Amino acid sequence: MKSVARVLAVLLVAVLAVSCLSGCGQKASAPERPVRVLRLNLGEEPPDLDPGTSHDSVSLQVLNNVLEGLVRVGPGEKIEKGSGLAADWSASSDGLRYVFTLREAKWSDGVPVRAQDFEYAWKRVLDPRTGSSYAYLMYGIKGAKALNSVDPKAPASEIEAKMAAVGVRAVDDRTLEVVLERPVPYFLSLLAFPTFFPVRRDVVEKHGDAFASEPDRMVYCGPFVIREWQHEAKMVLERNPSYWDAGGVALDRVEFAMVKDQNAAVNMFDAGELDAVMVPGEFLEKYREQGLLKPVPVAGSWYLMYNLKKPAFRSVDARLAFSLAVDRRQLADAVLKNGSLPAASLVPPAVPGPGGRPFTEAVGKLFPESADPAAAREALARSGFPAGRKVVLLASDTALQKKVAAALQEMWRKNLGVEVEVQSVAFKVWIDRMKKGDFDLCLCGWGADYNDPMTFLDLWVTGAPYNSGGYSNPEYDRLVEEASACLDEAKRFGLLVECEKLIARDLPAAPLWWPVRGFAEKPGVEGIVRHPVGADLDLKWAKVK
Amino acid sequence: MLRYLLGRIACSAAAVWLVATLTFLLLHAVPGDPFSTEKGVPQVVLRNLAARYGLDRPLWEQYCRYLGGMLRGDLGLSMRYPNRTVAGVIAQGFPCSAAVGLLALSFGFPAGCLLGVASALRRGRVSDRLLVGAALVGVSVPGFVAASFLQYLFGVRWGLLPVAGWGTLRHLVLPSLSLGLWVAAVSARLVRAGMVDVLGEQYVLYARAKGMPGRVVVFRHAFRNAVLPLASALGPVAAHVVAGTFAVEQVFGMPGLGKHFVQAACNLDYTLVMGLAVFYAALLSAAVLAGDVLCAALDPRIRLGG
Repeated sequence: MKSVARVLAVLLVAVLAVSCLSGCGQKASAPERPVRVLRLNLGEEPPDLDPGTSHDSVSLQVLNNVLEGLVRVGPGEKIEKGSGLAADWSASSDGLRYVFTLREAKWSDGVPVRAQDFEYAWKRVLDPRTGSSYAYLMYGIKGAKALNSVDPKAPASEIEAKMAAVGVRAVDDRTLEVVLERPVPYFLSLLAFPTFFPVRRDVVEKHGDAFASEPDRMVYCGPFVIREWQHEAKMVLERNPSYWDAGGVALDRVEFAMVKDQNAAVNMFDAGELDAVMVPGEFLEKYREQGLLKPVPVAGSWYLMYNLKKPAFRSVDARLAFSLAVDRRQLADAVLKNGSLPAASLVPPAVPGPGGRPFTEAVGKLFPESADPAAAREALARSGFPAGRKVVLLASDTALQKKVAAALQEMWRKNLGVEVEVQSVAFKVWIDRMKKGDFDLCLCGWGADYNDPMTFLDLWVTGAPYNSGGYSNPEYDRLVEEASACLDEAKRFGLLVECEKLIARDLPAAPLWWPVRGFAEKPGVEGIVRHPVGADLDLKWAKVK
Repeated sequence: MLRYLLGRIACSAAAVWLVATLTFLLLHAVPGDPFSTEKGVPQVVLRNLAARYGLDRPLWEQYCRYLGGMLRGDLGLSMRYPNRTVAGVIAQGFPCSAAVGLLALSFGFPAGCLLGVASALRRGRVSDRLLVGAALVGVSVPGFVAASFLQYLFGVRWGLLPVAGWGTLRHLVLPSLSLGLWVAAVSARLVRAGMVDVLGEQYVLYARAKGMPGRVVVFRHAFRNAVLPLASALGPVAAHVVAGTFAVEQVFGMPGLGKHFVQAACNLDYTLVMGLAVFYAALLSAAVLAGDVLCAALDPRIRLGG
């Protein structure tokens, strides 16, 4: 029928026309923008903006810019009095008692920030009923672990009693007293972490479960406020006029896209839709040539964890053999190709050591960059490793880990003559099996919880939560215990260096590489601070020309 | 007709229930849990989180609570996004996926039909071979390849359209074009196959012999019958495209449902996975039912339920 064809044709043309018309013409009239906007990519929808429960890196990036704690870590990782909401503080000589004096500051709704907001927030994190994943960061505080360990279904009176015994107290509106169980040398840097941010009791009680799920269901005390939040699509921050240092904030607006695909994000940067972007490995060279690349050290470390409980790796010589057979330089340059560095020890150089210098300078090179097949085979023979024994390497199923696992498999086949079976499993399955010790070798990555070598070294204490390889050395435990309580900085770092040396000797794990992130920024963008650890994005000092 | 429809709806409800139950069992059979991360989450904290979401109850009790909630329309709170309900996540993501999907369907189907008919009419000739080849390419090229190519061409190279994101009409164009190309290719192949069959039938020959104009023969008589395979495929294709395709949404950074299907499973977000499975099952059942009714409307030989 003629009319059917005509109808179809007209429909087709109409739809195409609408698409095209909506597509053309608008490029000429760019939308009006206020001056000083920074456009960034958050990567995905922030799952949880409640500072007490948030534990994912995306949410933490937002929180660090719309809220503030007692301390704000500055560029160069400096911790200074008055950088955050605490104008001043004093610590007792035994390192067990801190008293913070708050500055005059207001929340975005005009209500003053009080010490009670901190006391309420910290106790809320430790309250077992809140279910906070990062409560353990507060375990250095007196009574904290005891409160958090109570059964959430226990009677409220029991929980309240334990809460009253926690060593956090608002002496008055401007003074906060904190009592610790044992001295924590890096306590001040912990305070910059969003888990320790203040929270307003009245706002939480008003919104209940919906607290922090929308911009108008929270209040802000940081350099920016959330002006707009289109879930999964876009978030817009605006300068917070109530911020105590509003004059020091150089941006008017921050627009966050939520594009997960790294290639799409890079395309957006090229097309001028983003002002800064994280650069995946393949593009590092391109932006380096354009002079736009900024490498950022990451306080993270990737290593091979051995299962000392399985027959294959009971002998230290077997563990040594597998470590010697790995060519770390080749792994970093030819397989990873993303600027990562071959690891010479466990703790990465981004973590400070004595005198603020990288900790790695004090440790030295404990693991070689190149493989030594002869020495590896010798060590394997010494260990009595039977020929033909198969070994399982557990890894997660990301593209990167699959590549690394395949490369390692090849290195062991070539340099050691051992067949390793790679099992690449989904992330959640990997966590489960790793915790249960269902592996001979496990490819693991660890990111620092706080900026101190201890966060990498206390992983190997007997019975530590992720020490599923079963490493147990009373000498190591003693070193860690002593370092935890030591107040003399030089002596403490000395003990931590000893820990690294013990790891290199006993080999519960073999470090492989230290990751590095690369960012491209448009010319004219400056002042974006990216911390190697903790809430890593800080836009307070960012500028756009 | 009414009895048939009611019967079909009952079957769909049973199918959705089966999907919900199987998903529940599979989720709990997979090792791991929603809250574990690489970080040292102490047992204490895991226990507190499990209590909050009722995961420490016996399995049958969790199942009954979940089904009861589902019947009331309460799909629970997402475990990955602790302040958002599953229904809320779906309600926020579906309009985006649906908009792009419907737009893709609205030009993909007609384009595919026209091309399929044209191709069948010129069967054996060069133009037919070209169209068949193009359709094959369209169906075989993965969604993200077409999407990335279009994104580079129109977004980066020529700067005509936004590279990624969501919010204005202009953001709709590239994703729906990527999906629409696939829809057009699928439709063209089905329609061509149907038309080639039908054009060889006796009654078409008779109509031509009678002297009916070619266009009338093709569109009034042949096309109606040739389009039946497409009509029965319409349901699943429409459901697939409208529910959100992961690859295209990922490339264009769209806030649709597609990525939730994958992410929720990776995160072992029990409630969200269950909610999405049930939602998709319901959507697919409805689409298939609509497709079957359409088939019956087109072809009087098909007796529904007979």
